[in-house]
Amino acid sequence: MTAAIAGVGYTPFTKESERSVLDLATEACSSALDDAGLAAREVDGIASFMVMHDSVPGQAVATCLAIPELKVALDIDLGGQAPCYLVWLAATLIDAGAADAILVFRAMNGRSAARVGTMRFAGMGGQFRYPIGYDAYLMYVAMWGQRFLYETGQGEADLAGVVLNQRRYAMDNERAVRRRPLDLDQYLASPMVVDPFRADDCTVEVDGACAVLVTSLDRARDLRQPPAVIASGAYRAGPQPGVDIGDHLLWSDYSRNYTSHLAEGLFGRAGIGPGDVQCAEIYDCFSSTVLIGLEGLGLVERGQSGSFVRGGNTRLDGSLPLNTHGGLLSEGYLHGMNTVAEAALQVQGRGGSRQAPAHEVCVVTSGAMMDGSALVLTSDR
Amino acid sequence: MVAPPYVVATVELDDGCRMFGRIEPQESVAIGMPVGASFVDHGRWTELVFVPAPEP
Repeated sequence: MTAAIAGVGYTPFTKESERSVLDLATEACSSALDDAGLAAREVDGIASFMVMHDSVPGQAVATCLAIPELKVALDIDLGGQAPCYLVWLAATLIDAGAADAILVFRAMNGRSAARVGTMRFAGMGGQFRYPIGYDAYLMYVAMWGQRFLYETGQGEADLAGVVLNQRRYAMDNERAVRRRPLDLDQYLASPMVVDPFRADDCTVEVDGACAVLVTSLDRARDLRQPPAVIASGAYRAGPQPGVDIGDHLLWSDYSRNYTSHLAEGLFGRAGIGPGDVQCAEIYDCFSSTVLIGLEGLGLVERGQSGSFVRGGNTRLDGSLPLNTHGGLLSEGYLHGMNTVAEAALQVQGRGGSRQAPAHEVCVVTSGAMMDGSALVLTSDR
Repeated sequence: MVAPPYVVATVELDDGCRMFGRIEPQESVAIGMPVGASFVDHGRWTELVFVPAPEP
């Protein structure tokens, strides 16, 4: 693989943007190009994802950016599973010669307009779930989280560890939406939303957009920022992912998610093992997915992720700095596009006050349950 | 609509497949507990609700 992330771009994350999603998307993409020092006329691909039509087609954004011609235009119907997948697809398409420079973005008025948290997803299983009140995304993730905690003998203190670790990072991140200090007593005193999740275990929905620019490694080396090399990627759905996102009935073991299934291929293609990973950005629509991901990727032994996080190992001075932007829990719910952007910033050495001291190899994931994707990003060595 | 709080659980049948449904009364619920089927009439539809059952 010879592709890299060459730039990242963001809009502010707000509760009410008072702007169109198209405008937000265009700003984030434009910002990623400025960051890389590449002109829009050099771009020939665009890729994005949306849930229940909550965003705009890539071609519309390409039009606003005055991109002359598209050789790749991907709009996929996926949520948080998509960011690493799309970056991986962009890298493979560039490697195959299909395009030279592809923008990957996510844009949404996710707080003031279409909110994923309360969205009624189309899907064949909904007819059985909605009448009994099993009707929101966080409930599906909670079902997996409960099973995971039960099977591994972990509990609320372990989820709290994740939340507190990430809030500490967010306090140092001006982009983050949730930045007030949080301690264990405050966490435990807050009411359950859906057991085992309290409010701070849940991502905070925002309006905004985030984009990354993917191009060949050779080209990235000539641009403004050091390349974030895409060493490998993977997407996995299955075994038997079900009829829709709320259907785990045929999934073999719902205390383990897609990370358990893609880890070997992901690390194998990068020519590394989990022990070589120096920092991690694990998808966290809810706190439990961080622990499931740490264990699924083999970064921590089964059942040990909670004590690993509580023991300080995921702080900046620990062995595995984790979710250094504060995660979706604290930075905001850009559906994991911002998680990929943070991973790029870390391997580029642009993490500022939250820069991981060792940052040559970073793993980043997208998704929570039966399907998802991941990347290994590395510094240009 | 169902008024919260309520419990939705994954139920493993003795024959190996899974279902999900609400469990009542919610105070009784623990992971691993045996349950049996009960049917609640809501007028236009009937709900399969799981209730505590004696150990087999």
